[in-house]
Amino acid sequence: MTVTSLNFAAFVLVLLAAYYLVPHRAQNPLLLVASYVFCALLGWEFLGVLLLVTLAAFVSAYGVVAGRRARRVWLALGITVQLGALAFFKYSDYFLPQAFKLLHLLHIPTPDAGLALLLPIGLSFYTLQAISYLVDIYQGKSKPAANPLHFALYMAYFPRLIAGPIERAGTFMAQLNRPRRVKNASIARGLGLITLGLTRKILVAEILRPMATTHPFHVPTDYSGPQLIAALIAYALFVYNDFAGYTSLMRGVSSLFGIELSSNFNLPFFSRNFTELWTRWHISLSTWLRDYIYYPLSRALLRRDPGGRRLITVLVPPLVTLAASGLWHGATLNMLAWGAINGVFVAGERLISLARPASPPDKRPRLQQWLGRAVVVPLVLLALVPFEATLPQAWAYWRGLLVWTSTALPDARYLAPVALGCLVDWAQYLSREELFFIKWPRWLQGLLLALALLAVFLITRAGTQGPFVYQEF
Amino acid sequence: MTESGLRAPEPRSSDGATLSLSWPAGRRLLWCMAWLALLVALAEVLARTAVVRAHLPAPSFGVANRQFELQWARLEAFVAEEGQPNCIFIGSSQVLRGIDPLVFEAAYRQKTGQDLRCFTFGVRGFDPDNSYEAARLVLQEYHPRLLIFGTDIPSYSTERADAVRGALGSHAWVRYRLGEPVVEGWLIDHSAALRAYLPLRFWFRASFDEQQAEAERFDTQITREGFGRLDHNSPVIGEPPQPGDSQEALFDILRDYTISGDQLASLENILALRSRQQVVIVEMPLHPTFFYFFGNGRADYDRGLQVVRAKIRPTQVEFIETTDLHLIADSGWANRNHLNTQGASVFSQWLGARMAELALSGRLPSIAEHGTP
Repeated sequence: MTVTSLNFAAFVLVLLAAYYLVPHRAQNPLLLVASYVFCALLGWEFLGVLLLVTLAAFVSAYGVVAGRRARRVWLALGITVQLGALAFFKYSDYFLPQAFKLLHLLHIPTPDAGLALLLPIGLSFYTLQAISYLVDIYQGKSKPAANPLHFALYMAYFPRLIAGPIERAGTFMAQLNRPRRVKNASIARGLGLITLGLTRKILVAEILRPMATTHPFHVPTDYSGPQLIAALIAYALFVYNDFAGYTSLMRGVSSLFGIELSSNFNLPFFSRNFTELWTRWHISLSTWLRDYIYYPLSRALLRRDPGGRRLITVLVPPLVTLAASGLWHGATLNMLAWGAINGVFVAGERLISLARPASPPDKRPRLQQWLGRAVVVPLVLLALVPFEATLPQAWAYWRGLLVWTSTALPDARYLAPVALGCLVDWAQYLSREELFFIKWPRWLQGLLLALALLAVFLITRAGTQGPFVYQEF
Repeated sequence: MTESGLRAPEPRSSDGATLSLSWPAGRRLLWCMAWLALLVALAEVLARTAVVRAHLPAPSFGVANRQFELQWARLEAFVAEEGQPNCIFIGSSQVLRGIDPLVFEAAYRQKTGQDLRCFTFGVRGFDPDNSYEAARLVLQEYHPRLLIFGTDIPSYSTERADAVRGALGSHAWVRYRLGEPVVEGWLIDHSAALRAYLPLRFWFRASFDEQQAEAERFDTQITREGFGRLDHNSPVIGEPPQPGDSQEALFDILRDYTISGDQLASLENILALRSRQQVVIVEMPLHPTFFYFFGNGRADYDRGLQVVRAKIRPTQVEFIETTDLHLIADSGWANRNHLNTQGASVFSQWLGARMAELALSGRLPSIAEHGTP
């Protein structure tokens, strides 16, 4: 069941009807059962993993609180279980073949391949949630969930199960404790987010998918310089609109249930420096990495270098944090390279600011802000190449961008989804509103919704859709 | 992050309903529905306007096989002009390229003095499974007295069946026309605007222009009666196929020739149609050098033929075999399994005469009159 299918729409509508009919105290159990059903529909074995991981985190949290002297052990144990699940399901097929190669060199017989495990849907996201939950309890920022059902729902809540956003326990469970009121404005907002999500996913990302994925990145030498530039722009817009579309759609669905999910994107291609970019792109992951890797690492380094002037203090936290981000996306050298390159950008920016402190982006002259964007966006796009290509392919791609062997032009048809994607962002930028149309006259909003629904219906006639990009991480 | 949030008391049902709408509500949705109705009505009017239709490609039913759609459009036009056909030839591209209804009718008329109205409904890639689905559609819509299924032994290959099986029967429009309550099928069937849009649904794919050109080229080769003319002949037809041959993909398909149980089941389904209509099975001819594609040459082919024959024989359905007739000269072949126009003429004439003999001998009821026998 894909979340852009009619089956999912029917699932949500039936659930909404039941949700509005049952008393408040039955709503959270209902959502939990629905979330487990949803998970099982995606793969019953995924449900088993989710239940085990949830149970482990719940028990560990009580160990952290009750353990007194053994708090640290319980925390380590809890985090190890989460990271272990991640390592086993997500990374074993990368690390085992490498280990087998080493053993083979030592003439120790090994199997030919890894375990070829299926990555449980959403594992990368809900294990991070569990880790943040445990660390926050350890640090005294929050207490363990009093109600195991609420914690289970925090881990399994179906609108965020597949690909986040990565929520914090305190914020999310506070909503579960409150009675929910879904009013006209919430419905309008929810439908607006769903419309926006469908527009991004179906009308931009899905149309860009054939051009954006695989071939130009895997065989860059077959393409001219202009085609490689176009493919890179198409790919960036594809990944962005695919993920932002998914997030909007699921936030919209969730708000129909009276539960607000975090925003994951805030016009990333309008970032004026690299640091700002990571407050605008995949915000829930970036914030998680900031809170649980970047800050602790910075604090540890600052204890040794209180002035924060040593290179190691400036460079290591962004490099390590973004390299970790790369590895979270996949245990491959190219993902590590993607993270490391972005880490170098941020670290370089910090280095420059040591010599010449910069004012916050909002305070800079407008021209300087646009110049910042003109530098940040192309470099971020270039760094995106290894997100899809292996390192030799990425190298060939970058060479192809610089050395044009031909000037063949890209297919002009792709200008349409690119223009639509840019138009949506531009409208959001000008109005400073995610739902830029929410203040328009109702007849105009109705027209926009009608056009979006018609376009989505027509585009989906072309056949099956691809999976969400971040569903596979 | 707050502790109080985690410890808040459980809300009670007396807190009131979750859905708390104030009226009027849903005006955006009402506007949306009004706009949708207007836009759809406008599109329907435009799609039914002759001037607009003239600038659009042939309508589509959302079926993956464009040739099927073009053939169906031809059949609808044929019925509109000539009335319902007495007999329909159904099968793969071998039927499409190999049976010219006009020549067949003339040969039949010459022997029996009876006029027929025949249509060739051959479609590239149609194996017995797809042919069965197409036959059901055709029978349901047009009730011909005779259904002639042109079968080819290679199409029973498991390898080939895995690649193409089930394509037609899974489409919404086909399922709807065959009686299933499928909303999308209903929409396609009733909306001219949707049918006009569907050929353009792959516009964003790089292969769209090429596929569109191929469809247009195909369309120009098809006669009013559904026969697909091929006017060239193969210069290498006399030589056994070698790697690098234009049909070399057949080596992979037929090297380890095994017979698909699913395709045989579809043949049985076609044979079962005899309870509703007269059914005849014709073995479509292959050039003798075609047998080289099989791993064991002619022996593989004969094994397949024997299995097919064994399925047909108990049903009393007429099975017209052609393997050893050598009717067609080398100049009558477009390639090793498709006749060109010249070869199709010879074969159609022979088939028309053969069918006439069957009719005259009483083994086949008269097919000249339209309707269920």
